[in-house]
Amino acid sequence: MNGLLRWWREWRASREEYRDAVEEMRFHVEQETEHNLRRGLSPREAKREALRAFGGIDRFAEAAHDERPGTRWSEFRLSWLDWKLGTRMLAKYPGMSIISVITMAAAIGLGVIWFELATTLVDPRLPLDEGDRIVRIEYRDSRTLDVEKRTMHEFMQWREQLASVGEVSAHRTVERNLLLEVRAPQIVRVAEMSAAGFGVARVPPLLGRTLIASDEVPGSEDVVVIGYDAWQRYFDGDRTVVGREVQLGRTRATIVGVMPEGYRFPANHEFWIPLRAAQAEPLEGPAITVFGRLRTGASLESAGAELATWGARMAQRSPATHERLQPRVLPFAASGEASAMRDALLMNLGAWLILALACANVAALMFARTALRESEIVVRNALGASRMRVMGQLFTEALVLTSVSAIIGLIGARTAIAFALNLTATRHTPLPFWMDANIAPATILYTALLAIAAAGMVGVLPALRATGRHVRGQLSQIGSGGTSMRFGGAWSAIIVMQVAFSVLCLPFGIAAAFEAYRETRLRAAYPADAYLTFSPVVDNESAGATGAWPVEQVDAVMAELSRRLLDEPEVAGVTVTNALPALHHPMARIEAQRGSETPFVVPANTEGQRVHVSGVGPGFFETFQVPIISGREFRPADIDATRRVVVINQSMARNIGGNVIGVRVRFAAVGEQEPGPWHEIVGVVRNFGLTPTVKGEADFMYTPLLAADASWMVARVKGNADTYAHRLRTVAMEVDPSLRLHYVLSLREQIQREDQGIISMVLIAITIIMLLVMLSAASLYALMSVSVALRTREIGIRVAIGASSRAVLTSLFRRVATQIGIGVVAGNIIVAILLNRMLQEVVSPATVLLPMAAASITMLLVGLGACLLPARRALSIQPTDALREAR
Amino acid sequence: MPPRGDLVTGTLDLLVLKALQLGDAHGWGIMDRIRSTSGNELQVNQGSLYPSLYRLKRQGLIGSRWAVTENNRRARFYTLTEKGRERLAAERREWKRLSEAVNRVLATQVAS
Repeated sequence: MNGLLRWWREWRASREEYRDAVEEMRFHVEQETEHNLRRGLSPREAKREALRAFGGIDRFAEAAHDERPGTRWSEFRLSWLDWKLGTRMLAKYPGMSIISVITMAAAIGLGVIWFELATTLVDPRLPLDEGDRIVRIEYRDSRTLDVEKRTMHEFMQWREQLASVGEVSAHRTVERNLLLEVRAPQIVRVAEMSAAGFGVARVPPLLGRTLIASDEVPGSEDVVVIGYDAWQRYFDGDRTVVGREVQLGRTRATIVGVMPEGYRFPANHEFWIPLRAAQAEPLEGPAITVFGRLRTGASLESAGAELATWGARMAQRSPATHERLQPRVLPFAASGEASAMRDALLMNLGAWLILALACANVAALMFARTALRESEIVVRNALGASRMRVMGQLFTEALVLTSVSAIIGLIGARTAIAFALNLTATRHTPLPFWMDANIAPATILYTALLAIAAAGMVGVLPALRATGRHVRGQLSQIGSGGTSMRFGGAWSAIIVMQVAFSVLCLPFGIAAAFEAYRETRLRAAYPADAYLTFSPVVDNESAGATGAWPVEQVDAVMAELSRRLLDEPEVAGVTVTNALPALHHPMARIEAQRGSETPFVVPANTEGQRVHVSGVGPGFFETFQVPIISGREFRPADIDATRRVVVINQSMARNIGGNVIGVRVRFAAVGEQEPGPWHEIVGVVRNFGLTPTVKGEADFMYTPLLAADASWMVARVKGNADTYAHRLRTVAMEVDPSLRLHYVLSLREQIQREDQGIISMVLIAITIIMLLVMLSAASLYALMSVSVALRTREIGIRVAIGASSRAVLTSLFRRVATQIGIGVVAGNIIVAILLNRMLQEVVSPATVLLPMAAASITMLLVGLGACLLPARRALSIQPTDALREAR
Repeated sequence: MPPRGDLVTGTLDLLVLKALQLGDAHGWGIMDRIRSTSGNELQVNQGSLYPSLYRLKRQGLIGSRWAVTENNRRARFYTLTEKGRERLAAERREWKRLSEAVNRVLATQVAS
């Protein structure tokens, strides 16, 4: 309390002193104005002359306001005036401020996103009653560190035996077609969960009941509990929905309850059906997640100890299956991977590195700004302000800058997280219910710490330099326009590095953008509207089973779907593939062998001589209307795994050379892995022309594919693919109600989605590069202008002793041009090395050369432009003034 | 326009103390006194005057009070303290010794 009172008194006293100082200096200027009037100046000139002679009231008044002696550390205080001055400094140098704030905001925003992500992954908070007592029990292989999820056998025992964990439950996520009379079939995520799981969450139903133990009994009625959103979306919030029957895949289940809004436990579920646990042998049965709630008095540690004892007993009893398996207890939502914490930390290290880089650049700008204000610092020093006091002031000014950046960074991070979550939820799987875009208080605290740390780097380093010993005894030089702060070799090195960095980054950014633009244009020209693509999935839906069907059974369903589609008048062709044309393909190095000659790696056009590889079904090339140039297409008999045949594209044929039919190819050895078996080339097809590389169209190799193993089915439609999508679903339901069709999209839409991703990545990269280049140019400008400004006196003297203006300017520009030149040359050398060594296969030198020249010239112009104004000022100095100041 | 003479480094404090020996004055008054008594030869850098005043005050060589000027304006007036008087006398002696030494050097005749 006393401290607070003392602070308040000091604050009042400092305000009064400030007001007194301002009043005193105003009085001074008024008196001087009157004096000038008496000398015959006009009122306007008299005032202007008085103000000029004084050099700004506020500057000196603020410098004078609170310079009282005190202990070293107590002088490092943050006063409100410093905040005010800091804000004013932002406004006074808007260009520098905007660049600094944008850079710091981007760096801090990145740090915020990573911290938020890391804490959500490593230490998530469950928004449930005593959510921190909900735990997950899992088995981990002590050698491979993989989690063993086939724990039905153990689950049955844990449920009965564990003393520290209660309401032990299990769940697994399955997908089902929700079939409603009035709507197209919807694929929904269903939690197959023990009834006790609802007890763990402690959330009562909104309508009806949750699952109960009797629902788990095999042979009992099939029931389902639905979530609030599903209730609204599919049943229009009908309050009489309880008791209604719905078709979930092949099962007809009765709705017994509706859960309240926001309830999506255990992860992101809207439907819950009972998990009918059946006795299973160890390491058999379906993959499940076991969870429960710590009993009163138990802790994570005690539960862990109990599980460890249990695990040791099991390992003794069944060493064959359990020797390497260790059970463990974790907070329910925590990432079980041991590496998660390390990864999170590493990610933060990355963020810190970027922040440090941004700080280094902003510190250069601040240093330049500080150098321009040296006279003020000298006055403060002369008035008795200690080094700590001046450093406190500069730190506060930096803190104003970093605080503004932190606020913008936080807002930006929140927007980015919300955008990413939304994108993930709509395009892929909805995220667990405990992840949202709200920034946690811990993250806000972390941001504040980042801002303070950044202010330390940005403010204190220039301050240390500015308040060095040299400032003492500099009073006489105030107002001379020069500055005594020196830019030594380190600053020259920074200038060189800035230039080199810009010359290095800009060309690749522009080249990448150009390549991306070229590829998207190419793909846009492809007649992709005619192809309807979808990812069909079918499995065994019987409760408690492992889920997978034998390949033959799946293949039969796919063959039936394919046959039914071909019968449709709108469909011109159907095929299956593992990778859609123009989209991502796996890549591998391929060896070829002609007869008994020595095998050689196919010199593919793509980087690292890798060939795009894809499994395709019979009729693939016919469906995509790609002509066979030589040999033949796949036949149904080729699918037989013993007949190893491949079809390749023109590019690959050209790179192998000669007649390729009959040539043998295989996957080259990777690391310790043996090379694959030999395959025979039976056909060559024309290039799709959708995957350009620097050396021409990429190499493709196609292997025969069984429909059951395919990721995609493609139907070529007469007309527009989008309009056929609804009919496709109906046909699929007729084939099998459990057949789920994911991502039913035209190939055009698939390509557009991929392009959007590429364009976003390129845009982000370009933005970051432009920001860095802009910052680099700004730092260069600031450093250059200050380094020239501080030589004004020297220039004046040289003119005084007879040097011509031209000679002075030439020497000045020569020095600047040398620094920038070294940077440009260094940058270009690195670019050349990269192009030669690594990037040759990714970007063509032609696309890089022009941006490289543009970047070099831009940096030269920025550097020379930065010298113009200070150089002109330097030349306008009277030689006599320069000589007098030099005494 | 009279020639502008900058002060020799370190002499500003001496001149301020001397100006105040002639009577209490505000900041501008001190500056004007130095300017006029030197016949416009000495120009006090205004940016240096106030730092000097605050420094002397902190050292206890001068004191200050708020008072009203002849034009009815509130101004801070500075007064020479006893300690200031002693310092002035010491500084004067030092200055005299230094200037006499300089004069002696300048008066030396070139041997023919």
